Amino acid sequence: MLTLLVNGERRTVDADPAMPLLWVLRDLLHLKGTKYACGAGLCGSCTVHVDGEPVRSCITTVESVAGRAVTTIEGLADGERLHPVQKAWIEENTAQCGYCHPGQIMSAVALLARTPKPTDEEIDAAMSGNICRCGTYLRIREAIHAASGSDGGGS
Amino acid sequence: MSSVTKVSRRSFVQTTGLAGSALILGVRSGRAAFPSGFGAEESAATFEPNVFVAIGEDGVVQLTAHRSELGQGGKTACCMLLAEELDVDIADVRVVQALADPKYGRQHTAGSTTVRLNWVPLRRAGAAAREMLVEAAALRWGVSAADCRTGSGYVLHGSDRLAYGELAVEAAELPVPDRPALKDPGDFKIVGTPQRLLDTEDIAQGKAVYGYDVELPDLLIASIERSPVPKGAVRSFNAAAALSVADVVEVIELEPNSSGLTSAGVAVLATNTWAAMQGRAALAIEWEPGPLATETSDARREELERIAAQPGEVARSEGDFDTAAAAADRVFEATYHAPYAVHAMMEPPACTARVDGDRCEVWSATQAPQWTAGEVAQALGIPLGNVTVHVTLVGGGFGRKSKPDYAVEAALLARKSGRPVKLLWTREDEIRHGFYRAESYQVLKATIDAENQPTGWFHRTVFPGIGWAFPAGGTPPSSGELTQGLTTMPYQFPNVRLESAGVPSSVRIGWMRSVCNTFHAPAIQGFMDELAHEVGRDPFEFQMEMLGAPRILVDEEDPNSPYPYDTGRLRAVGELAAEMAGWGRRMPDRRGLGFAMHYSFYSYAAMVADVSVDSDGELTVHQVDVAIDCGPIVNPNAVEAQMQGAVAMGLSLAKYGRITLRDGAVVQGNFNDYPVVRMSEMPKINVRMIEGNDVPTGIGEPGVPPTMPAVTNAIFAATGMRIRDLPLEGQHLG
Repeated sequence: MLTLLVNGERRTVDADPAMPLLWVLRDLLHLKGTKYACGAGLCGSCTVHVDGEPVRSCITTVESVAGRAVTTIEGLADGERLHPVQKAWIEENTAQCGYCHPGQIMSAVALLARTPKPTDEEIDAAMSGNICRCGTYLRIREAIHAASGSDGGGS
Repeated sequence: MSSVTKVSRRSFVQTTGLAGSALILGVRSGRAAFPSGFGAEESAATFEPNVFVAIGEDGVVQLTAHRSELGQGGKTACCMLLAEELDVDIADVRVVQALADPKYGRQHTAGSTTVRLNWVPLRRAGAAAREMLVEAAALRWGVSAADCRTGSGYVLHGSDRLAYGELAVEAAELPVPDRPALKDPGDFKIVGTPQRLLDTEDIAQGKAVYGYDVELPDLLIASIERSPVPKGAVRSFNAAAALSVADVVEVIELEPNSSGLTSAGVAVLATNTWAAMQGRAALAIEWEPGPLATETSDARREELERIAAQPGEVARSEGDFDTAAAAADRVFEATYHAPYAVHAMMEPPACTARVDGDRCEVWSATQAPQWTAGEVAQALGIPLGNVTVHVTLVGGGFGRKSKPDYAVEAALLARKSGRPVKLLWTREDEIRHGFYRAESYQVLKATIDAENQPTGWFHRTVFPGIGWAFPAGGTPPSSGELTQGLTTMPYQFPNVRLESAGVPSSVRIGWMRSVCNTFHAPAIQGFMDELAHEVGRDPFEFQMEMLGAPRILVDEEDPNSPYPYDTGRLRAVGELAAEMAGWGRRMPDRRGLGFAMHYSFYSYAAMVADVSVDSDGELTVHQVDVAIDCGPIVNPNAVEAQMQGAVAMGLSLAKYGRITLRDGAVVQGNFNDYPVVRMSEMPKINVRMIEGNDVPTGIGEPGVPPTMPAVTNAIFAATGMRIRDLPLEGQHLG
């Protein structure tokens, strides 16, 4: 049995220690907001935060995050109050199919925590690990700029 | 569906007696069958003038979207059309996703048809309901319906007003008008205004439910190892090794189904995805490789070139090209090649199935719910009416999710295991077992006379027809495939010959966003650019000159089409794109502009790409100016997004799109060897829209084709290097 701290809650799971955090979140904890798209750390769709740092949950073993704070897309909002990045995402009509966007949002939140007012180049550098096949990149960039103009960005 | 029919409670019962209970589920949208949190809860609707609109006494207005949402905004557009004529605010309605049912008409979300084919039917559905509500209010008030107005879910008369919900019971008693009056487009309040896609808030919170996310009690997760070579078979495998993995429950061998949609393989079923994948890795399958195991990409290309050197079947002929060639000062010629390519939408195929006796219920991220129902029924040998298909949000489709193969696999596994099964394809599965964009080889020639004037155009296209993917299909390209660029050639050459030829394929062919346009546009627009330089003309001006005076190109198979090809509209987008880009301006060293335009899905798109190539051959696409005419625009927000997305997809195809075969199997497997563009590669994109007539046409696909030649023509302008083979990856740019 492994104990995780997921979105502020202590959760105990009976999992193969080598099971990627992605599948623990999705299949054992039923948090489906974190997405599978490559399984190899190539596309960023599965991005979550571990102790505030963005990680690819598809290649992160559950064992390696035992006892550490995991934040998923479901844990970003403060109750009913959406995170500023989520608000900006909605305001800028960012998503198309939206499948990669939980991962995009998690990467964006981590970027803004480090760099509250990023330039286009800084956004590109931080976000280029996240693939969007619908090609929403320009609106993602706009949403990040919009969120950076608010009070937020910190996770 | 082009008319509105009334479905009364009584007719439900009558119909049910004839066709089984699936229709009841269809009419009622079957929401109660969805897992908790999946969709709206079931509530009795009182007023259902047609299958798209329902209004309860509780005042809840429910709209049913019968097309899939893939991110293209189709579901939102359907609701906009309904809400416009019903006169309700979108924020006030509940939207449900339709089950598969022919009563909705065509549900296949493909071919850029959602707005084009529903522009009138859905407006009529909304308008019919509105007329009935107005009539009910007028009867209650004892006034003339003509003196009543509507607004935001109310019927109004003087200072009186009644909410639609208050009128639901009475309206349900009234006859459904056959031809309800439609709004004058000048009175639109919703259509033509930018609307947020309906699922945006759920997406931003990780609440949106895709095919991958469906949950059911007692669910098993399945992962299938398929034959690496199409038409291969399983020789042996180690079931015990797979079953020894913790949480693995069952191992099931699958044979190809009778439709040829599915492959031979072995499925591992487990209580979680990781265990299913680990069990699958332990299977140690030995394959019987089958007849296609010697196929290589080099051999395929040789075959294409061999066929392209022979005469093809003439698809269109004007004047006499051979005579023009004999009389010409010179014949200018080039060949173009594009390899197989795959969709790589972010969500790989996923479907959940539950089989109970001779009934089956599936939850699928599908573009084609009715086809899914039919294939599942056939595979299980049960009546079509016993299959219920729920459509989840689709995490990207691009044509791949038109194919119902993964639903068939899920249904077969659910039957064999006796438990609900969620089948999840991995990324490698998606890239290696897809329905590919066809590989193509094209020969283009132009005859040029002594005055340096082009006199003839010859185009021979060779590719495997999509029919190859089906057992009854053939290899020759269909006329529909040829209209995707070849036969719609718009230039006024006095002598024209257009030919096609088929070639067998060793992998399955599918539709990929704009389909044959993805290889015809780069060839035609690349060759026009080459030809312009050959005769010493500016490429944009040459295109406009060869387009000539506006004319209508009549589709001989559909001469009365409401969507005639008007070359004047192509000219208009071409001129607009050129103007946006400042065509003709002087560019810095190693930087250039490239022009391309293309007609597809009845819409007109033109682009100018601004690129530079540095001394190391590194390409930067700085900006793409896009002009699009798709007729009246329903959702400008979605149109702009589709153009941005199409440029991204066209750029990915131009730079990286290549599937390679070795020993009959696909070599690539993930985003490391099948790259797609990332944020740092995105150009600035400007989009301007022309509403060139009053009939809306496609928007999901038409932006893809011109992107590729705009970029390759710009590379020529920047470097003098002509790109005739795509993708660019692996070529050193001069």
